[in-house]
Amino acid sequence: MRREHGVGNGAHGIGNEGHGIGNGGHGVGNGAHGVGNEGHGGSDGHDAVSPVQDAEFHVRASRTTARRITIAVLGVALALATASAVFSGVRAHQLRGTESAANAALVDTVATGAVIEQVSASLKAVFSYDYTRLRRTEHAVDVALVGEAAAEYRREFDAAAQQAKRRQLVKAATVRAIGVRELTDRRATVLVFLDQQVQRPGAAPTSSTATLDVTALRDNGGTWRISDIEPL
Amino acid sequence: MRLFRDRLAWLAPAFRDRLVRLAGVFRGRLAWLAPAFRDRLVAGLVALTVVAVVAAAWFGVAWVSAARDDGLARAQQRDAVLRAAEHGLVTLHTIDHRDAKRDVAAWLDVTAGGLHRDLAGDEAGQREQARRTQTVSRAELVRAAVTDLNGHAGTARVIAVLSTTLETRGGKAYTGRKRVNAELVRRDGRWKISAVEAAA
Repeated sequence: MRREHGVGNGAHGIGNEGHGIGNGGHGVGNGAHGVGNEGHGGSDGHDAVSPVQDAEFHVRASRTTARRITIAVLGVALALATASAVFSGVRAHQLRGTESAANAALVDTVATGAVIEQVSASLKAVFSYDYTRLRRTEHAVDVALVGEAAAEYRREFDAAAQQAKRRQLVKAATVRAIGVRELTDRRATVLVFLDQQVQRPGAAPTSSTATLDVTALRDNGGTWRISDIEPL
Repeated sequence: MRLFRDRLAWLAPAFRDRLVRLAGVFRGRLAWLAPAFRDRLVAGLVALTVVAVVAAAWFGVAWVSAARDDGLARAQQRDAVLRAAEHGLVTLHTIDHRDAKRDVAAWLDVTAGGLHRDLAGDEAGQREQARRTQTVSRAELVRAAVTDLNGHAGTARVIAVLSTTLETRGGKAYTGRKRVNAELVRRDGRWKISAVEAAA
């Protein structure tokens, strides 16, 4: 008899638990409501239940309720933490992952200065020549140019050198303005306004201008060499 | 506890005993947590939540450091200068005598400082000249680079190459390259051109 009662009570309790679960989904407040129901269910006029059984039931009920509250709190914390991780991760990537952020021109002032200095010196050396000292220009080309820029320059150098000797030309290049457009660890693109003055015997010096989009590559030693020269 | 002690057999006895005592204290203090960790769902949730909180902290720090990164701010400023110079220089090289009022107003919008004063002072003259010569001028930016940037003072210098097309009455269209040096200033968060000169 007592046993049956106990089972019945248990069933009653489970019914309430089910109710509690339904509410539990809505949050901690409803979970607390569940506790109230269970407490009510436990003392629902079943006077014949032994105090021990009643106490056991209370402990079990409060454990399952505590578990539900724990799970709900953890679930909310997990959702919040995941959401904020995703949100701040996306924002950080938006700030750092852009093309603008990857371009160190004028941001890394030391590297920008080094590119400007070395590319200016290279262009001056390569685009200046003296018909009596053409070897010097050739040497400058070897040092300052690589890749396509070097190949292209050498293709045209012989013809230019012969003309320089024949007409006794002295050509001096000056960098009028220079600005780094893009700069990464290994590669830079530079916009250059170059002026050239040509002197030859028995004639007034003439000057010309060139606008160049220069690509430079940095080698392991930190030296910038020009790999491409595009006249604009 | 015994198992724990056995596992630490390789440690010096004094140190081992201290560790075991410490573990005992913790076990007593944290005993209430034991049922939760026997519960697989709760234990799993705890583990996931810890991972999520660590990830949130990590990315949060990354976000804050990116937002306060002076280099990133400077990079953005450089690109804002470049965009303003591109738009401003193209605008300043654009005029259609049939729409001179609109085009000269656009010049005033992209300029500030001395250049703005000069243009504003002779607004009617500019329009009149465009009408008289029936000028139609267009421009495209070929390349530009910032050569100088002072974020605090709000000043910058830009060099640029433009491709311009100019038509005047009776004449045929002339297309050419134009190199310019431009100075920009920041006014109310917008970069505007304060000086521009042709570089030979």
